[in-house]
Amino acid sequence: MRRREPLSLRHDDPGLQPERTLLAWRRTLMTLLVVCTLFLRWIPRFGLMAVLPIFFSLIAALLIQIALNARYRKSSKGLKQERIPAPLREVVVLGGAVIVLSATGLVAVGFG
Amino acid sequence: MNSPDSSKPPSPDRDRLSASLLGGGCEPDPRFTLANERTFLAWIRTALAFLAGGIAVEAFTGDVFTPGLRRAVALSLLVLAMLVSASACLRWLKVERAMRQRKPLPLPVLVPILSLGGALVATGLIVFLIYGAP
Repeated sequence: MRRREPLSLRHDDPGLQPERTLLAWRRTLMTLLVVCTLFLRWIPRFGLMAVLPIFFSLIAALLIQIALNARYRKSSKGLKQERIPAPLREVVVLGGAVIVLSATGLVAVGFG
Repeated sequence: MNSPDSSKPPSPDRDRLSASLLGGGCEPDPRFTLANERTFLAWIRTALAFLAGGIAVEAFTGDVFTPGLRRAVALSLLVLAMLVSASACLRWLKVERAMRQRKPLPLPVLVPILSLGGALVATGLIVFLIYGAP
């Protein structure tokens, strides 16, 4: 039996903006995870210093992944109502995660 | 679809953080909000690429570069990653504010710095590969 598409996911945007934005988030999170795996290589040399950023970014990625479904629903709905809330939390969490990752890298290379 | 200059007051149900950081003005076209979001994500991916480069240089190029050079390249890539990600957040916020106030969008200050930084690092590496290789 064909499942009915949930009403909230429908939108009439011919530019498919909600999908494009969702995919942009997904590939950014995927890149974040790839960078995390690179930090694994540092564990023998830097120890805990390399584990912490991995842990931190995994949590950030998980939080954003959970928020994305709600965000997609909001953008589909918002396009119909001509109003979408700015994704302030997601931007702060993702930007913060990348800044912390680079800062840890800097400290590890600079002083390690 | 509404006309682009129809002004909508800010949503009453937004939280205090968004209200204080984004300020007043009127709600922008939702397509612009999404476009700004995707631009932010593209900058973040650029930052992640620099970060990955920095980690990779430090982890994998032990027998290519001298320790000092390896450290310098890794550090400069990591600094670039941090600069790009911080300015991506700030730029997202500035653009969002400008759109709400119907003001012209701010210029991306980082673009010339990034091009210059990239060019300098690349030139340094070329010089090293030609003259400095053991």
